[in-house]
Amino acid sequence: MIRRFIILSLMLVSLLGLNACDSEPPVLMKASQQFETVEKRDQHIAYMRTNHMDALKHKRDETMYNGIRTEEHSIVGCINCHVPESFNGKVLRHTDQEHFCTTCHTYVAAKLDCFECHVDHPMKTVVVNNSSSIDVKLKNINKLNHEELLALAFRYSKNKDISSDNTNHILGEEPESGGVSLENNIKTSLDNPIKKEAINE
Amino acid sequence: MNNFDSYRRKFLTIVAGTAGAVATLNVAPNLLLREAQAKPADEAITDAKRWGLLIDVNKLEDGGDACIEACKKEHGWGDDPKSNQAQDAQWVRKVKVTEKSTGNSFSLPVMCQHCETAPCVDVCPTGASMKRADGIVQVNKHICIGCRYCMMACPYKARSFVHETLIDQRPNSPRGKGTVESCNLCAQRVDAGKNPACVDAAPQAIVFGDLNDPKSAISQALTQNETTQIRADLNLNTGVRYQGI
Repeated sequence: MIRRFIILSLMLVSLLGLNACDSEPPVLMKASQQFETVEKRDQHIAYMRTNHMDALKHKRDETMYNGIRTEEHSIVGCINCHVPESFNGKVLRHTDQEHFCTTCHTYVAAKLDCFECHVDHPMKTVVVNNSSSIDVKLKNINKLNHEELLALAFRYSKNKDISSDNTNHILGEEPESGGVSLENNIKTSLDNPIKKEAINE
Repeated sequence: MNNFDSYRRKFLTIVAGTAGAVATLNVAPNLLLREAQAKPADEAITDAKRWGLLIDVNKLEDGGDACIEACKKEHGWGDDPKSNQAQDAQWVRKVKVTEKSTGNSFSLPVMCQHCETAPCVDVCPTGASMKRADGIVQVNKHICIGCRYCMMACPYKARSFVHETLIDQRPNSPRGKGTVESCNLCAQRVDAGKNPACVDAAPQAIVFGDLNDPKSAISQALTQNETTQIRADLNLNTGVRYQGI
């Protein structure tokens, strides 16, 4: 009788353990740009919870093969909105638990490969010399709505070449790369000018 | 000439002058130097265009250093962690050619030549080394397994391999350990209707444009000048052409 009671109580305890598995999902970091309505936000969350991997994979092939670079489902767009530029005074990387993607991926034990190549945090502290209004706007780019973003992008593409501007860059730091470019000495002989082309040999 | 006429003439001169100056300032960097018209972002590229470069080696003041710097800045390579010199990334190499007997030498930038029949595409076992419809040859790093066959196949030594873990890549140019990389003609800029970074760094020496369009500046220049494909004997029909070598 006592043995039976012990077995029964052990079974009950194990049931309690099962119950403990049913914990709350982790709380995710708030995105910097918010939807106007709660419904829209909930739609976005519901869609992305189930489909973000497919959307990203579809988009990546569209971009690689067809050169389609829309803002929708662009990984840079996701990162710029969901990951803050800095967190507790330092850059938030995908190796940190607080990172939007990592929080959940750790919880469900799914490996995250995107950030082996893609940058895992927004990189856009822009300083442009001759247009102060653009500076301010770009620093607050996350707070702009869609129309404002488009207008800004249009204006920017008209006036400034963001990525090749030699004064400053999208990135705060400017790598003055002191790397020595590899010089290959290729000997060519005068009597065979066609050898000149064979620079790889 | 009466007063009215002279006023009118002055006024028109000022208006024309201002308009001209404004046009030069705003339009020139965007339209005159750049042939690539921005396609809508959601529109797929087609084979109607084939992008190409014409590099005039004599007009490069620095043998291509400015182009290489611009490329490093655009794609974020050149300062990567490495365990030896041979692991350096080389999206563009500065190649020095010397005439042995006279000692005369010059330098030229050599990058992916964007071959029409690219050997790197032929040998890739996964299809990661690919040619886009518009002629840009690039690596789809999502499916690259890092076997480096393409590096062996390329006659131009245009490809390099990422050996170490990288962080803080450029948002528009993802790069990562275990994949092969090379010049992709700044596909992300071309898709946005901009010139590749190297072209903007040396606009006096490099023409970028559509090789399929006989009216484009690059096609005109190819018709009018004597130009060379490096290793033309391989019949790869390169998209990058040189003048003055």
